Amino acid sequence: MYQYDAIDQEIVDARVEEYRDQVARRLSGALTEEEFRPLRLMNGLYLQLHGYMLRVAIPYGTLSSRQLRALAEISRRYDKGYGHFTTRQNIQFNWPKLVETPDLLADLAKVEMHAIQTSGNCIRNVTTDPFAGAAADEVEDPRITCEIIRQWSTLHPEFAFLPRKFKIAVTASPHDRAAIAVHDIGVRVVDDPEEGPGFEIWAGGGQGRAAYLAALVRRFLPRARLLSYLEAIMRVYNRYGRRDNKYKARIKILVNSMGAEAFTEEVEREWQQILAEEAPVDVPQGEWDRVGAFFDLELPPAQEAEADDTHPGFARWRDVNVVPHRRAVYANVVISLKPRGGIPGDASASQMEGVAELADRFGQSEIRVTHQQNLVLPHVRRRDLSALHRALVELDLATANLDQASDIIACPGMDYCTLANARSIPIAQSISARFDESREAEIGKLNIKISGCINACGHHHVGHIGILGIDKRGEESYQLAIGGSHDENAALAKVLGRAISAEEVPAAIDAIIEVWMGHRLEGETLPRTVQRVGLVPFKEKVYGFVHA
Amino acid sequence: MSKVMTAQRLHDGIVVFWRDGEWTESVLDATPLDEAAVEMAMAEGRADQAENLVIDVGLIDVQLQADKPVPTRRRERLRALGPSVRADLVRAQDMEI
Repeated sequence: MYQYDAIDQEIVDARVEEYRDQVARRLSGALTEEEFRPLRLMNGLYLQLHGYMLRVAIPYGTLSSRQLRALAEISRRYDKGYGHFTTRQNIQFNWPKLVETPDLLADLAKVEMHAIQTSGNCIRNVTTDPFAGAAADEVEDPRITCEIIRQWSTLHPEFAFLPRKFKIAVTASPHDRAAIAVHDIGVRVVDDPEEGPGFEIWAGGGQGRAAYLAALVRRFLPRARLLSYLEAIMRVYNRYGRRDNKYKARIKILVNSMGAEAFTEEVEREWQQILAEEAPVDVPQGEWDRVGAFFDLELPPAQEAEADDTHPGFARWRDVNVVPHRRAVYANVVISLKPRGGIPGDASASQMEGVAELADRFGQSEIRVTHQQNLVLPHVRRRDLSALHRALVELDLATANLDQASDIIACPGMDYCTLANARSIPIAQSISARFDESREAEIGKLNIKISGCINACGHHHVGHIGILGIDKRGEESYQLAIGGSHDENAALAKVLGRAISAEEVPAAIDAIIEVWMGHRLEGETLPRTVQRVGLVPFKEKVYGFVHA
Repeated sequence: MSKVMTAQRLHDGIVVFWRDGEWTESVLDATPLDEAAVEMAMAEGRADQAENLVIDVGLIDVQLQADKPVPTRRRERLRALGPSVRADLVRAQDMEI
């Protein structure tokens, strides 16, 4: 894992003291709320439906066991004993007191963490594959690229006041687990047989009220030129992105209004100018090597034998939640934060401490947060799987449902969020409670994603089934869409029809699944079936049932 | 329709409601305000905001149920009650979402 140097620590410590002074001045009245609001937001502190909410950055979703213990302790000391893991691979605390937040941030800084750039119109936390450095199919560890981008984008003065927030995702595998197609910039690490190590660069993707898939703006960028090229994209966006209408301010609107070709030409022109006229921001190979060394984990030898286990639920859990590792004697283990009928993404302080303990025992003291709101132990010896499973059962964290119908992404919705038009979590609960292991085994992989408003924090545009909460004459209603996908076959879900009530949603989900299973070919995902047969059979079944 | 004055406490962000010159955490204990009382209450609320005790002072619509004010809009009921998915954090047990 990357470790702070003296400069990193100094920056974070100084920021805590600056913020402490800002809070003191707000409480004394020296700062008005209007003056203080942008300052607190720059430190990840929102004012939500029930109180303040602090969003803590987890760079590219990687945590040490020490950091996870610290988050557990913070949730006990400053919050109500739990945290919520988000689709940006971060964690949110829902109940901190303003007066205590400087101490909270100081405690975070002790474990090399902060909340800088988790809000505001700046470059947000860079996200990546949760199996980075451990995936069987990756070109290299994408976190090296993420860390280079993190250092470049942190407190970058030119990009502190962008037209709108800006999100970058990096993948290094052909199977995209970072959803790069729906990011402002998507970076795919490649090793071209002729041109060597480098990147594919995508731009202009995003969800929200108008969803777009990113356009490929450069098929190959040499590794050495990453930052100057990203800088060129940011400058074009900063110059031409709209600032008069926040709903049209994201780069996706710019790319699509200019056209991908014209946007790319503008970026290339800007890039050539950067290369010709300015001191290059690009980092030399030595710096790539230095950063890379932090992620160069030498795994101890392991025996090949995998222990048999007749423990109830083990076989299904191993088949569903265990993902191949780059070394056959190891495995990536996904710890589901989606108990059937439970709250997606929430973990109690005890569970966080329990996972930290298991990471120390079984997983090289490393934990990952996934954009699907689960946790991962990335380096588990296969012979330890049964012992790990038993321990997870004790923590109520052994739900075997990765990528199954009950593994639902849901934003906090109107239960917590001031922007939401409807609740998300109770819908997720009512759906996930209907699926047990045997039914999920019959159905296969299915991604359901729920957002409580058009801001799409629950990624409903790229769900196999996407659910959007809306306010229909004062009543919570839900619009269904199907056929979306966030991976290398990214697609936007198509709206099925009129919005339905909360009570009607679970039966409508059943109807969609029934139609899919009736029409699907061997191994076909729901998006593929939708592409092949269209929406009509789904509409007939869903609305036939709803109106019955 | 009656109204209740609400805000969030500056130092901890907790949602509060106006009850005869002070702030209470339970909407059921709040003072329902008729049209004539609204202006005077808001003046006091704004004064507390100026004193940095509370932020986001505003009015919400309520209906009286067994003489207790219950917000008419779901968002305000959730705001008064706490998250509907955490029974352990509910603030007003005898109010429904």
